[in-house]
Order: sequence, then structure tokens, then C-alpha cells
Amino acid sequence: VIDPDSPLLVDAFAWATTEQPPSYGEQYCESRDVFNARLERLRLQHRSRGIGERADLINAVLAEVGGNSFDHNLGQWRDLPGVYLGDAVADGLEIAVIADRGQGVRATIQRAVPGTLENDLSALQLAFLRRITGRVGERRGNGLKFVREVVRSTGMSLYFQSGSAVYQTSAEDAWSETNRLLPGCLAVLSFPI
Amino acid sequence: MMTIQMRKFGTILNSRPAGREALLAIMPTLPIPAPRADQPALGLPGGAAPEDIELDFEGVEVLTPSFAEEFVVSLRERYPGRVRVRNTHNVTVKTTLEFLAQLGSGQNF
Repeated sequence: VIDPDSPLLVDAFAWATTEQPPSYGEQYCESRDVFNARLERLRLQHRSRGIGERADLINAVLAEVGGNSFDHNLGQWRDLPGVYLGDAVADGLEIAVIADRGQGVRATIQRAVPGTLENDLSALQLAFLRRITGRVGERRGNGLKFVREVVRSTGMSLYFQSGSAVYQTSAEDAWSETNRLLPGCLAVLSFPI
Repeated sequence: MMTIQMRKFGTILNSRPAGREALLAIMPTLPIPAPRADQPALGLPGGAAPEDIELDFEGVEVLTPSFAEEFVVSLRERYPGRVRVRNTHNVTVKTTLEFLAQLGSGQNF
């Protein structure tokens, strides 16, 4: 169980929602190159803790989540481009957090589906369960489905929020809504070490 | 058979732009695609069969669907039935290719 009041999560949530986010700091990755470099450092850190090939899977999951932020918000960031990437160890769990200040899943998916999406939750369900991409003209859109499948089959846990919608999965899926709005995306991946 | 050593694009193959760039980089060296049914056959030298392409994942440590869709799936679409893979023992290579095959994007890797 991820503690929502842990310093890392509080910091990531604040970074993603505050009006004046800091555009510096160890967690802030303003470009994909910086994000990928820090992701690789994290993978090597995980490998050094002896979790073996799971480190590669974790890298793949985080790369898909963070890659989506860059792919879908290119030229459309609300203000600050890039993502927040942080990690921490607490109570035998390794936690990795990715947040962005982008358009959010609903606005992204809405570009690619006919009709109006009912709410943030239906958009999030589409993104994780159906093969669809928010990039019109592109036939892809499997990243979040891959993330879901890997998380569910490898003993990891995922918390993903966009707008008011929250998706949590480990062995089972749980969908909910929150009044603590987050316009972009926040993903928290945790796994035992 | 043309073999492409995937590790020459890097050991971490985890982004969509990198997959696209890799495909563009390798494109000039690829065999001529077989003509579609509605296209005239231009005639390969000596009536040779079109060359197969083998993707060798030895040394690759991370492969994601984003990279694979841009590179591997695009190659499969360009050369249907002629792209094979080998050395797919890394867990992310195996998981990604199996995942795409399930979706019908990779077709029996």
C-alpha cells in the first residue's frame, strides 16, 4: 500500500498542481533526453539492489508512462514542459513517481474518439483498456495497456491519476474518482525490494 | 538473409522517436519490398526471391512497445512474412514482442 502522505508523493502532487512550479531540481526532467538519462540511472540503481531483470521491466513501464507525457503534450504543455521523476524507498517498497503538467488523458484521448467523452474516468478506462491513441493519424496506442499488463503480472502496483479519475491496479483493477484534481497525469509505481 | 543487430541502435530501446529514427537510419540498406498484387513486378536480378530480414536482439537490455511499434511492426508491415527475430531472451524483449503479437501488431514473433 502506497502512503499518499509520503514526502515523495506530496512533492510530486504539488509540483503537478501548483500555479508556479519550480523549473529546476533533481526530479525535474525538462526534456526527453534528461528523462531517459535519469531513467537509466534508476535502472542501474535497481539492478544494484539485486532485483535482476525486474529492473528492466520497471524501466520499460516507466519509459512508456513518461514517454506518453512527451509524445502527447509536445507543443501543448499547459505551462512547464517536461516531467517530474522521483523515487524513494519506504517500508520495503521502492516507489517511482512520474508527473506532468500536460493536457491530461481526457483532452488527449478526446482528439481521437468521436463524440464527447463523458468524464475523466471514462477517458482513463479507454486509455488503459482499449487500443486507441490520442495522436490522430497514428495507429499505435498500446503503451498504457502494456503498463497494465506488466504491472498485473509481476507483483507491482500502480496508481494513476488524471483529472478527477484514478486507476489503481496490482492483481485487480480499481477505478475511482477524487476531488483532489490533477490536470495532467500522475503515476506512482511501487514494488517490493 | 539480412541480419540487423539491434544493439547497434543502443541497448535501451525505449522511446517512440528513437524507434522512428532507427527505422529511418536503416531504411536505405533494406532490401526492395516485394511488389503488391496490384503492382507490376519489376524483376529482381535472376528472379531471386525477396530477402528475409532477421532482427537480432542479443545485447538489448530494454525494449518497449513504443520503440517496437515504430521499428519492428513497421518493418513487418513493409515486409510481410519476411521479418524474423532471434535472441529474444531479455525479459522486456520477450514481453514486448509477445504483447504486440497478442494485439495482432506483431503477428507470431
